[in-house]
Amino acid sequence: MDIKLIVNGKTVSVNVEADEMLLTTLRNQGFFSMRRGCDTLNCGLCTVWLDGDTILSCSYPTFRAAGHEITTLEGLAEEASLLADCLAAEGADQCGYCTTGMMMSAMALRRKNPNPTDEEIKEFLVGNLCRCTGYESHLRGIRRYLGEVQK
Amino acid sequence: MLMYRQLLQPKTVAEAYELAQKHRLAPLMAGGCWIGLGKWRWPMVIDLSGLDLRYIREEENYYAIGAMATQGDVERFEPFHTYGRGILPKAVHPILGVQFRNMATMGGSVAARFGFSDILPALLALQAEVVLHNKGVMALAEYLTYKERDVLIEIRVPKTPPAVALATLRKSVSDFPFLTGALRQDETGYHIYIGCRPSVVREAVQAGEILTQKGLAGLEEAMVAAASELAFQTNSHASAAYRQAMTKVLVKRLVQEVTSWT
Amino acid sequence: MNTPKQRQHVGKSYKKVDAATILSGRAAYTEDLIPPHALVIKILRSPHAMAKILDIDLKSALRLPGVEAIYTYKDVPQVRFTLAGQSFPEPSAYDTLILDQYVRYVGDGVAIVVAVDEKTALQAMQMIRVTYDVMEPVLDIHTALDHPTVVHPEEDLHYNMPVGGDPKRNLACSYSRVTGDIEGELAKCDYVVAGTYFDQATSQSAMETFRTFCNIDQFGRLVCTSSTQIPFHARRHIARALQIPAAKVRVIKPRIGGGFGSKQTACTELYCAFVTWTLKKPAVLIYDRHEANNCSTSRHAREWQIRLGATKDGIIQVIDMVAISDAGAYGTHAFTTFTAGEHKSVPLYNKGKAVRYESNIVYTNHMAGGAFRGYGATEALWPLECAVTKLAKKMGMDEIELRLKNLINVGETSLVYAPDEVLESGLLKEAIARAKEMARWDERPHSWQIDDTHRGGLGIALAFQGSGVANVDTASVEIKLQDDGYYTLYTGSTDMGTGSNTVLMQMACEVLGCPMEHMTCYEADTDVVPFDPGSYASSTTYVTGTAAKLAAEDLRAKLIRTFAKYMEVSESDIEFDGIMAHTKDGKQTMTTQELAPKLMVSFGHEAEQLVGFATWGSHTSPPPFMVGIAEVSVDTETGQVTPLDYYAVVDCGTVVNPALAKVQAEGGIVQGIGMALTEDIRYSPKGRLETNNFMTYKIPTRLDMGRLHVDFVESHEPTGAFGVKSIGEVVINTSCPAIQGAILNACGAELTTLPMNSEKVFQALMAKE
Repeated sequence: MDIKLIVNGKTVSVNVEADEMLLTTLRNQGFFSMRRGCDTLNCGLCTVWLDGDTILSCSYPTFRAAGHEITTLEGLAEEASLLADCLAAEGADQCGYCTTGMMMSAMALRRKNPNPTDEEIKEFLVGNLCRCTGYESHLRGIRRYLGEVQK
Repeated sequence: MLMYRQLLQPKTVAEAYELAQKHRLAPLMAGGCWIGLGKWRWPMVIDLSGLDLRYIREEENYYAIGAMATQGDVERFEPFHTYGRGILPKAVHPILGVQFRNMATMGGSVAARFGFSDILPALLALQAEVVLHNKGVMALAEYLTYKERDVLIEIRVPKTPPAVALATLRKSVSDFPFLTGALRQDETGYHIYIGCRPSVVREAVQAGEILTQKGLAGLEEAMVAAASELAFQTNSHASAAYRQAMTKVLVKRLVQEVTSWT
Repeated sequence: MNTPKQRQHVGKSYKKVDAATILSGRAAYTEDLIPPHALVIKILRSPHAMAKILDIDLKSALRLPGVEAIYTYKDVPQVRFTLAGQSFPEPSAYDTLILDQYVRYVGDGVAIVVAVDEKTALQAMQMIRVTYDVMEPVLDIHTALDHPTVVHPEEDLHYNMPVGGDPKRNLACSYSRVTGDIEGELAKCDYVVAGTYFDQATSQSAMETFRTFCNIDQFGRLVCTSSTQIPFHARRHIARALQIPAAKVRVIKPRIGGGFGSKQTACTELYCAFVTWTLKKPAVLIYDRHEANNCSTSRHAREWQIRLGATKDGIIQVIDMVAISDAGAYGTHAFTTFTAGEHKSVPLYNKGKAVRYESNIVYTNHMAGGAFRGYGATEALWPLECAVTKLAKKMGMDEIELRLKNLINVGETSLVYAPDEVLESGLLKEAIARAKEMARWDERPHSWQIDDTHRGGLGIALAFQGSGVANVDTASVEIKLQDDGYYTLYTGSTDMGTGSNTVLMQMACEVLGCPMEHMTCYEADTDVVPFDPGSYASSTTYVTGTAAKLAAEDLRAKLIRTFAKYMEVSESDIEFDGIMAHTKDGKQTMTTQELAPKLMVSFGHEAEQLVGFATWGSHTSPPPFMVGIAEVSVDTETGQVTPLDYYAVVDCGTVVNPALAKVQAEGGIVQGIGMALTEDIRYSPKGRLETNNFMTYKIPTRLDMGRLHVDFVESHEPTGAFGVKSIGEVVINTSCPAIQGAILNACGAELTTLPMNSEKVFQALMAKE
């Protein structure tokens, strides 16, 4: 199928199989910030935004994304780099494999709720698994980032 | 990974229904969250995303939840925050994560009629109805055993809800529940629904009758009745015996919660 | 050497040197780097737990357009090897082939399918017809020994050393050490507790699954790029399995998405190497989550019979631990995980007279056991710490008081230590005191009612681990002064996200004196870096870190000598801060940037690139120490356990990077919480793994773990650079027994089987009534 996607504000024409998932399409386009971590919609490594809402690109058929605004971490470079810096200061990146997906959730949360409680942060990010960090450093890093953004 | 060879994209519900009749083995793809879990490859799927069914509307006597409205839409729909003391957001909230709920649809959740559903007990307690292309409006309770292939258009919940309560038990956050329950108290008395036994939710009729007749004095008796009148099986999440024992706990908690309404 | 107060780098929370890249989404991991046109490999897997392949019909599959090749056991070299990442000679049995005529668990490899893309490979896989002679599988550790089915009937299974194995009896290996008179001493004890404790197989569950791509380089050599903790061991295994010289193989590890021991065992490397070497074409093999959970290695399941005996003065006189361990289908790490557990548990309590530590480790038709953070110590500390708590209850003593009374002191030995071995460092009592203070242990009850249906409880556990494998793990580090005056540190250790590259650079820069920005790090490429066994056994900071310090010292000495030569003064006249040297009289200065280019040409002077180099291994494996206090809530109606708070104090020696060390501790605790409460590898009655995805194998989410409170006490380990020990593994060891103790205190339910899920707690509560 020939379709047009809007990725990070730019229109991209792609030819995809009917059953191609958005994750595959985006990786084929050179966006590596989202990854496949499971086959059961549990891990959140493939998180991107569709019209500003977080979705799992591993399970979202690409054809359905036609005409919608897709945002990846690469498209939020400046803000993502601030968040990355705050996370790194807490050692919260560790292997980094799940972190970029989690960052997409964290940045979406800030747009929906600029002053979340710790519990609200955890609730919003519960669909992002991490095996390295034990999660506490994510919370510290996100708190640091929310503070920086408000400055 | 979801794999299929051919994608059918109907533009109207009627067209979707026709395709569903013509290709009886092709799954109807709503959110697409579950049909990809198998290892097999589907020859054909029918896509429901082009039918304009993603809406939640306030009508005169009911709220209409379009089949393609996501679980996330239900969580965010302002009137539902207070409706039935927030029973609908409460039902969808424990399901995996935000991203999943932004994809999983209410129609898919209802039509799949999964035993582990968090949503079905809540909708049953609310006496929800479904609207089907062919059969029209039908009580959800009836739809649970409706075998015909039809296209689900919307789910309706009454504008003024009765006193309802919802309780689920799961071994960890974001896991499937191993037991679900909901309760309604209205002018006809108590109605208790227990799901994930692990088969699909059904009403514990005797337990409800005991409570209706005896009120809170009958609670102990109703707990025992619910545990004995329903069938329980063992699966990876819990044994039959544990489910049976926990049914008593669930009934108690549901009654306690609904009591706080009055 | 700088005293701690004067240190510039050691003790400072630097960001990981790779943080900006890995958090930007730029290509960094194996999958991001696959060469174009790489063939895609899929593995056809056995549906049977134990079977002999009688026939494989490939005809129709090979006819499918896009299928490049399909290989079976008939096509691969018939030389057995082990996938375990251990220094040669490995204590793990050589019981594995790339493909074997026997399949030994549901998921074992049957055929390697190679195609132009994934869809074609999957389609071809479905067209292969296999005829099996299906045998009765061995699925119960209690009946595995002398079972009619022999898991490894082959005649060419080979052991490099005696490990007590007898494959014809399904005995992969065995171990027994008895010191003192167990029964005699027990008879003299005033208190004896006994129990059966089971710890389950668990999955490491790194977020990046196993993956490898291979290609042929310009010299016709095999280049294997893989998500591995063990590039040098992997190179040796590939060479042996393919029967080619190791000189023909290069292994590279890019950024990797977690390991936790799972990638201390080769996995996708052998299949992929075989395909590329045979076809001389690039190929890639990526496991999906199902395969990662189902077709790799797990923690070994063990069932323990433990007895502790104490005299009424509170001294634990006897520790008697006998286990049956599940090796699974292959003997990877089967022997050493068990023996390691002894050295990292029993010495905690060293006042007694008799110790027995023993297990048969049996082959079964489960997925093979392997390495998982904790490596046997987690398993051994589970029954030991539960039993110590049980003993304290029986004696009417506070659980911590009993532990303090029996705790090993610095300078003391243990019945299981080597003859000349003592505990050289450790602020054990200080760590316990700090943990008590954090948890307010002495100021509140350890069991309380929270509301109508919930009770709260506190529980404690102690843990040791090691730092590297004594007398075996040996690391080399090279630091070059590059032609622009900057330094490059070369290491064969494998940063799997822990930040070990950063920590090694901090230690090297501490010696050289330069800022971190003046050094880069190149790691884990067997063609380039000096030998290192890889990152496992909590070895990197202690073993490789000490080598890094020594290499930096070597380079620093060479630099000072060279500066002295160029400034024509004596070496003692040179002061050097890592960037600039000056003479003590201040008259001459020269920077490394000025010096380095001079060394690359031979105008007037001899050209000489300066390289610091050191090789270091330790005669000992100093134990880091951890105290964990768990606070939980138990729903007494359902048995649901909710972790509320976890108080942890770690003595890992000198903390090189406090932020990274803290995250190590937090991550380990939460993996331990998962093992304690939700993680479970379960098999169907026919031996099919039922928990091969994250829907069924529940690792903790951020709402399953409560709040963590981590602190450090820093002892000075005399054998390690700057006083370091290790942090990576000890941190997973306390969660299970501490939570068990907390549940016991909360509601009286005594759990002996992991994981302690709500149903088991409910049953224990019912049993109590």
